[in-house]
Amino acid sequence: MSWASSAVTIAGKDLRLELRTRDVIASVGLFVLLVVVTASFAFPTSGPGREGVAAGVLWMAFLFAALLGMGRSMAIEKEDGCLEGLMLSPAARESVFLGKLLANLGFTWAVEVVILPVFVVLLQLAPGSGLALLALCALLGTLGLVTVGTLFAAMAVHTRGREAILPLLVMPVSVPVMIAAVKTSEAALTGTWSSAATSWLLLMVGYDALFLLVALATFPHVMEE
Amino acid sequence: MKDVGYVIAAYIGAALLYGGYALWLRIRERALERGDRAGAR
Amino acid sequence: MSIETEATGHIDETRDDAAVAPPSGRRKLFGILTLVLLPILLVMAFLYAPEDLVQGPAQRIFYIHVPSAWIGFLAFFVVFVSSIALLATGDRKYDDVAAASAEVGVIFTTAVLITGPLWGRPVWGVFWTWDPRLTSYLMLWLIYLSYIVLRGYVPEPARRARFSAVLGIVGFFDVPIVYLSVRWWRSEHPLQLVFQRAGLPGQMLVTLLVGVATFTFMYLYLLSLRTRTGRLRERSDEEVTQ
Repeated sequence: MSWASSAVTIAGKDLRLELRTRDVIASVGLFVLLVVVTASFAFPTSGPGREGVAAGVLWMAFLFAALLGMGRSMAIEKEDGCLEGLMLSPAARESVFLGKLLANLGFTWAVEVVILPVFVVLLQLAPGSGLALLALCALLGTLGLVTVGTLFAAMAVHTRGREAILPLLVMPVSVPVMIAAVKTSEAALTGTWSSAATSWLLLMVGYDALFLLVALATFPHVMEE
Repeated sequence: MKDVGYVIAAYIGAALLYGGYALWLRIRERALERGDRAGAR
Repeated sequence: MSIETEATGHIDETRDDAAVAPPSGRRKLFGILTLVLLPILLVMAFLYAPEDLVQGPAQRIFYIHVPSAWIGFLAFFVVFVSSIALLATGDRKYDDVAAASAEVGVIFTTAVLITGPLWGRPVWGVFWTWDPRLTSYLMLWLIYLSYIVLRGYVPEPARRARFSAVLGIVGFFDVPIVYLSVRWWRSEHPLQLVFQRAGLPGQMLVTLLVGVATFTFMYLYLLSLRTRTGRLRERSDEEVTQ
């Protein structure tokens, strides 16, 4: 089996399991919804410049979604002994990583697709033509978070505190992508696609590419034994 | 606080930080050499 | 008991060599050089270097702040290189150095984050700004801390070494990207505190160089010391578990 089809098979297994049990998506989705609602009480989401605040709230919510989802899904894998199973299989380590990455992307994007319209309505925003930029930004930004997060989640579940240490590992490293995503989303929510927004998107592409390579190179070392 | 106060605070703070750390390491090293694990923790 | 891996060096759970070597002569040398240079640096920083016309006396913090910053970054580079060496060879001595450099690096980075605001307040009126340098330094400090916390969470030595190495590598790539993205971010806000250093007067430069030399030897001394205490600690841990 080529490495690409191994990856897709692994991802498919995870996603099918999730569709059946809806374990992760339900709890993560509800949590993220609560974050958005709570944030609308806590932060000034009306008045001028509110797109900036809203963009920040959105990406905090997406970050939590990604962290929770990746942590839980990797923990479930470990509890069920699936991780050992994957390591014993003839699939290349890199395929396992890609498979997990694709599955985590799937979960997180699913949550984001549901949350986004709710968010726009609750915070009374009108992105209009900025919606395409917002979607692209969500795609690239989440990819960055999930690339680093999948690598660290595989480490985290083998530590004393299980997946609890995942946010601690991911958050410092995710700062560039968070800055880029928030700035781009702010532009998108005001309905503009400036050249600055394009620069931020390019930064995200560069970040995603770099850390994908680093993760692929280091993942086999994480999964030794 | 006058400007000079900040300078003195910075230099003394750095001295305490670096010196304190070096001292702490030396104490730990002696304790571990003696085989006193409890002292090292 | 050793764990075989594919193309990379395997990492033994326990060490084969009998005992931890005594403190090296090099370490003593680093220590002596540091103690000799420190008073020289102090004299130069306060008496030899001229007072800055614009910033006044507070500018003298520069002579411990900037060397600390360079060494803080050097220490992280050492973590990065050791991490790669560990994953490539499986030799645990690289893990000893990486762990030591991380802890020593935290100390230097903390000093930067303390002396920085103490310099900023009298000269620019604020303790903190989100400018690229300070922000990247804050992130470097946080990544160091997460490295150390991670190590505390993994009791098995071989696994701890591998996980730390991965974090060390990922973290090192992250810091320059943080710097770039914060610079981009802040350049959109014209209200920014810019420190112009249009060439240092000779006396200031010499003092700075002495500062760099002093702190470099101090780092090498502390690294040596911390590597040894780390080995001693792991040795005694192994004796307990056997």
